[in-house]
Amino acid sequence: MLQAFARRAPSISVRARCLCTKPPTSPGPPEREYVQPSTEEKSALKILKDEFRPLFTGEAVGVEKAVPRRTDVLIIGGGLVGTAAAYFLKAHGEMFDVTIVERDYGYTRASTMLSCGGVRHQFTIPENVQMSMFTTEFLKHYKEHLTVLGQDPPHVDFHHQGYLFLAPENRAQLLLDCVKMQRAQGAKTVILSKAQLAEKYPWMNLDGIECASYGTEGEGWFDPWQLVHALKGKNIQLGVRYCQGEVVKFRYDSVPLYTSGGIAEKKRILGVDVDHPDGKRYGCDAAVIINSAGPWAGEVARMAGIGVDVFPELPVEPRKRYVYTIHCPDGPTLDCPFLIDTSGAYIRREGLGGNYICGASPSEEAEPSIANLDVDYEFYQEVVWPSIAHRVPAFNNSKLKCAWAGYYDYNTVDQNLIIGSHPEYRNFLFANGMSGHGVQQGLAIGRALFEYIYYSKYKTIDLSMFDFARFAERRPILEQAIV
Amino acid sequence: MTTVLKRCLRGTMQTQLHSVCCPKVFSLEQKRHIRWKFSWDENHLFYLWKTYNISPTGIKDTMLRSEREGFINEQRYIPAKALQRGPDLAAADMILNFNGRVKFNNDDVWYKTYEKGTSPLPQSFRPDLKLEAVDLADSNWMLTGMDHLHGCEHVVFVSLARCKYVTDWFIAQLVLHCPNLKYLDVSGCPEITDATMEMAYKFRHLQILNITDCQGIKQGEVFSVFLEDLLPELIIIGVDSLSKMELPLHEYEQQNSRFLNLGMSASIPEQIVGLRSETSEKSTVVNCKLNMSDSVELKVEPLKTESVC
Repeated sequence: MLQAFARRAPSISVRARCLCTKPPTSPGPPEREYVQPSTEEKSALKILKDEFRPLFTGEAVGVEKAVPRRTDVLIIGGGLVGTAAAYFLKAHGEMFDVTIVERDYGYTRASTMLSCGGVRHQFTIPENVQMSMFTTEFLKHYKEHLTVLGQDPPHVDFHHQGYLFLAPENRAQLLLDCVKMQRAQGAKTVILSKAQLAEKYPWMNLDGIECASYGTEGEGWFDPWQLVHALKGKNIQLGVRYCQGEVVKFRYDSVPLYTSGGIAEKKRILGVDVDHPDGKRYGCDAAVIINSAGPWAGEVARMAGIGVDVFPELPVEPRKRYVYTIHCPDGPTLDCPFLIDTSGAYIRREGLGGNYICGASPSEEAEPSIANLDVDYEFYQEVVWPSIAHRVPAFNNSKLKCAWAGYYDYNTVDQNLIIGSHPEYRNFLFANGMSGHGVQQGLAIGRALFEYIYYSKYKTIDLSMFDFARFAERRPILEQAIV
Repeated sequence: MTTVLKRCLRGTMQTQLHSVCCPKVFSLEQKRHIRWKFSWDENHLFYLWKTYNISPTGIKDTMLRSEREGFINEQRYIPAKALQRGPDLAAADMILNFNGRVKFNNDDVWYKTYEKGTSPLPQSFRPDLKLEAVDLADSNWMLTGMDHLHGCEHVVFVSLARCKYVTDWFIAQLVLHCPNLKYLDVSGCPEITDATMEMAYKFRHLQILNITDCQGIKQGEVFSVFLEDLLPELIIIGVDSLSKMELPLHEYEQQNSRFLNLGMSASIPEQIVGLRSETSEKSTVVNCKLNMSDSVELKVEPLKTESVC
């Protein structure tokens, strides 16, 4: 497994990757036994023999294979987006046979588990606002949705503190327009003037701040691990199949396409090959394949030929972000919201013992290497601490306790969601590129995928503007409020 | 109708009966029945595939679910009603339907539905009547019911004691709709957690907060200390009835918060650690009278990763 992780480090730039015509080699150990998917033809006698073989050899009866040979919907990646998609597919449309393939059940590098877990409605694009609002709606009634029959109801502790976006004078008008748009969508955001800020948050230094926007209802933070755990429990009760394995190859079916320029080949994705920890490689056929691999979605797409045979490629790559835990004895206590500074640094309270979680996004030139999840403490000293100590003077007296790093599934073109089917491989669906907002939008994306698969269109939130075709048509959708 | 027609035809046009071929005409009822039988709308398949759990727990779950949905349906907010009668009277009407009591600002009488089921409230808009107190103890109030309090800013007393469906989201809605609250009673609600205490500071005029027997609140004492700082007039009733925290705050948080366990605390280089000043060696909380851990040391701990499933 170690060599599998070593293989994962892409160190070439995006432009260089476009020039590659060969997919990255995925050899696997040579002794891997290949288990055929369902495409082989079995005669009736062979099926009977297979059924009765355990009786004669003394094996356990009725053992299902580790990875199914055929399934309706195959979800690559078991983070929040994949789990939510499986939940909505099974909860609303029980006819689907859903399988989730996740290579690491410990979720040691999954973006969901390493995120701060904040939910905010303050975006600049209406559809983003609606998606976050659906997450809030779902969390209001999560006990009714996610209680497994016969077990204790799950816990998802939501802290209703709200996000506070500070704006200097030159961005005040933009903030006002954004808040107007958000209120039109139904989010309860308000604008606070400098005087109101001074009254509500006396511990804040308001140098250079003109106004701020605050979410009064439905914004806050929660622990995404609890939500994924609850969703997973409910999924297992509903009959979703969880498989541990790594997708290594896609299998195709070619059909001749008669064009005026000759006979071309039209490929269709049939299924995937999955490497299981027990040493075998299983073939799995699927009608629909959902790519929810998070930061490694670009690699999965390249395995499917997107970016290799068909262009454009999926412009999603992992970007490392650091999160630091600090301790400050005199910091703001209950009235500390999720504060987003003008410099891009953010800070929020964690618990009541004077601990805070902070971080910042590095500039484009100073992007850290994604080879591993080591933390750069210089970044804290040079970028994060000056900003937060300037904004909240109490943090001059703070101590860095610990830190961790996680990956953003960064959409290099416009940092927004990519959802929907690929124009050529119509049974390959994307759910990638959330660039740090996956936890907020994951539930809405799951429901949108269910609607796309069942109704062939989006019924509740119209996400057709976030389709993959916008990269070929050169119409990026830029989101300005990124943290 | 057809038999009469046949008798007439038999009498008059008997020879022409065979050549008359009238198409079969369906009535409106018959047409509707055929359309229903042969319609394949998108949601049809949901009913075909729905699985029914007929075990005792399954049946009980279905019954509870339908009861809950019934309450949600009945407590839906209808803006037209609020426009017609004013938000205070519309909210009072809905509260009285669910065995609640209300009080207005003009007198000290608690209004309740009469035994016959009629309502004592005026039926038309009265600008002088403002809703002041709401008593919903032991009722089935749902989150959709809180929408009715939109526009009732004069409410100062809310009691949601022993309501089994009340969660922290109810208090979040109260913060939005009734910021002038002075008395809040959530005693005996099993689903109320620490998030309620976190939000309590947003009621700037809160005087009494009753959290007796709220088993979901785990850090009641600590929150009381913090709320004392932010709201000096506040009296919190019921902290003694909650379970005590056996561990000091620092250890309790380290155990229960996944975020504080992420990351390695061992390998921070010296020059970064030196950012702290000398006074932060001991973490003292101002006005703290409880036994909370005083020193926070940088312990060398192994990497803790939470294992899922």
